[in-house]
Amino acid sequence: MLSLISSVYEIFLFRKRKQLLYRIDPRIKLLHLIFILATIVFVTNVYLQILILVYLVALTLIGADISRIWRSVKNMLKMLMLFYIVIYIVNAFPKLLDLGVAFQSFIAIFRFFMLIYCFSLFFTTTPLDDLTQALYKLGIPYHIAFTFTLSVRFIPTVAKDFITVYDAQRARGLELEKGGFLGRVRKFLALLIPVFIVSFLRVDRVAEVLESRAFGAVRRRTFLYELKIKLLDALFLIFSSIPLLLVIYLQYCLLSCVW
Amino acid sequence: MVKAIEVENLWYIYPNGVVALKNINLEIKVGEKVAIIGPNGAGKSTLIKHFNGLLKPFKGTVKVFGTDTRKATVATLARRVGVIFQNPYHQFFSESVWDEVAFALKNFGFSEEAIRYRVTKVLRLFDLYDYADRSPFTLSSGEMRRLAIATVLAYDPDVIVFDEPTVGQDRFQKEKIREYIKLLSLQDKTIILVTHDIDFVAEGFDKIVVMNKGEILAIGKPKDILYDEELLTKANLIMPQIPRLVKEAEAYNILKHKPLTEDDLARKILEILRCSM
Repeated sequence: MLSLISSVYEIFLFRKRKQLLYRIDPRIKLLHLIFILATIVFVTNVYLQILILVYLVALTLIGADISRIWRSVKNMLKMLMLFYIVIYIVNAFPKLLDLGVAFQSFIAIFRFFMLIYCFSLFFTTTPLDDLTQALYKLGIPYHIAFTFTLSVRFIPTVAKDFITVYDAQRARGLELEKGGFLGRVRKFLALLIPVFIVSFLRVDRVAEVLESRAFGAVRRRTFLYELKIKLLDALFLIFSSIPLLLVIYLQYCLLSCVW
Repeated sequence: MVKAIEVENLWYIYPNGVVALKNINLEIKVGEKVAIIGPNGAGKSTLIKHFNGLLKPFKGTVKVFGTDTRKATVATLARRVGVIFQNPYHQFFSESVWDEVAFALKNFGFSEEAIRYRVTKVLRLFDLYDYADRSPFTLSSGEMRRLAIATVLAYDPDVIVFDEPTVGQDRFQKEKIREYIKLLSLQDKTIILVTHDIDFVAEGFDKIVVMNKGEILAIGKPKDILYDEELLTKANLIMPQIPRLVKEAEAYNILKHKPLTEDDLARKILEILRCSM
C-alpha cells in the first residue's frame, strides 16, 4: 500500500531537468499524449502494443529521465499484478486454469500499465504553471485551468500526507495487515479521516491565500513567460507521430489484410 | 546504565536516491534527555523513524533495548518507543477525545478495565478530562498538542520521542511542553526531542546531538554545544540568545561563566553586582 502511495507521489511530481521533453511546449505534449492514449486504446494487436511500449521507452531514454519514470511506475507493478489476479479469477471462474483468459487479462493490464506510463511521462516533464497557461491558451477559462492544475499539484502533497498519517498510526500500534476484512476496513478509516481533514484544512488555507492575492480580480490574464511554439516543438510533433501513425497503419491496414 | 537506543554505522537512503543518513553512531541511555538539533533536511526525523521501526536501516544497526529493529515489527517497537508527531492533525480520527486516547491501547491489546483506568488518568493529567466526549477537532491548538502527547503517554512507553513539538507554539505553550518533559523525566522516561528551536534545548537536556546533511556533527553537553559558535554555524544554526549575550560580554571581560538559562544569567549578573559593590 505504501509503495502504491509513493508511486502516486512520484507520478505527479515535476522536477526540473534539461532533457528534450522538459523543453517541449505543453500544448504539443498534450496533443502527443492524446495521440498516444488513442493509439493504446484502439490498437488491439499484442505485438503492436509491445511496439508502443518500445516507443515509449525510447522516448523516455531520449527525452526524459528514465530512472525517474521507472521509479514512479515500478511500485504500480505490484498493484497491477493484484489487479491481474482479480481480473483473471473473475473471468476464468469457475475454471482454475484458462490460458485464453490469462492472456486476455494480461493484455488488459498491459494497456493499463502503458496508460500510467504515459501520464507519468507527461506530468513528470511538464511544469504545472506551463500546463495552466497551455490550457488557458487552448481556450479553457483561467479559473478552470488553474483549478485543474492546482488539484494535480496537490496529488503528491496528499500522497505525502497519507504516508505521514500511515506512519503516525503505525507508531500507535495500528497493524493494517492483521485482522479480517471488516476489521481492516475499519482500521483503514484511521488513515482516511486524518488525510481528509488535513486536505480540507489545506483547501481552506489555499482558498484564503488565493483570495488575499487577488485571484480572479482581473478577467484577462497575462503571463510573465509567454509560451511560444518553436521549431523544436513542431519537429518533435512530426517525428514523435511517425511511429504512432505506423502502428495505427499496421493495425488497420496491414494486419487486417493479413489476418 | 542500560542503553535504551543504540545506533551503529547507520546509513539510510530513500527510494528516490537521497542519502538521508550517513554513518550515524549514537547511544542513548535509559532516563537520558537528549535533544537532536539541526536545520531542515538534516536527517533528524529520518533518524527518529528508525527508533520505532518505521524505517529500517539501509546499512548498520539500530537496537532498541537490545532488540535489532530489523527483527521486530513496528507495533512491538512502538510499545516501547512512543513518537509524538509534529502535526496532531496527522493522527486524529476518532469521534471523541476519549476514543483517540484509547486507540493505541486497543491496538496494543489492553483490557477494557486497563483502558478505562489509563485514559482517565492521562486525560486528568493533561487537563483534558472535561473534553473527553468532545471531538478532537474542536480543541484549540494547545489542547490538541496536549492530546497528541496524551495519546502516546497512555500506553506508557519507555522512550518518548517528540518531533518538533515547539513549531507554531507560543512561549506559554513551549513552557508547558518543557514542564511535561520534566514530569516525564521524573518518571525515569528516556526523552528524545527533535527540533531546530535552539533556544528551547538550552534548558533541561543532558545531551545535545547536532546534525546536518545526514551526519552527526557533534554530541555533547548543552554548555559545550551551545557555546560553540563555529559548530553551530557549520550546522546552519544560530547561537541561542543567552550564549550570544555572554559572548558579547566576554569581550568586556564581564561574564566568564557559561549560563544557559535566564535564571542562571540573572544569578551570575547579581553575583557580579554584589562583588562590585
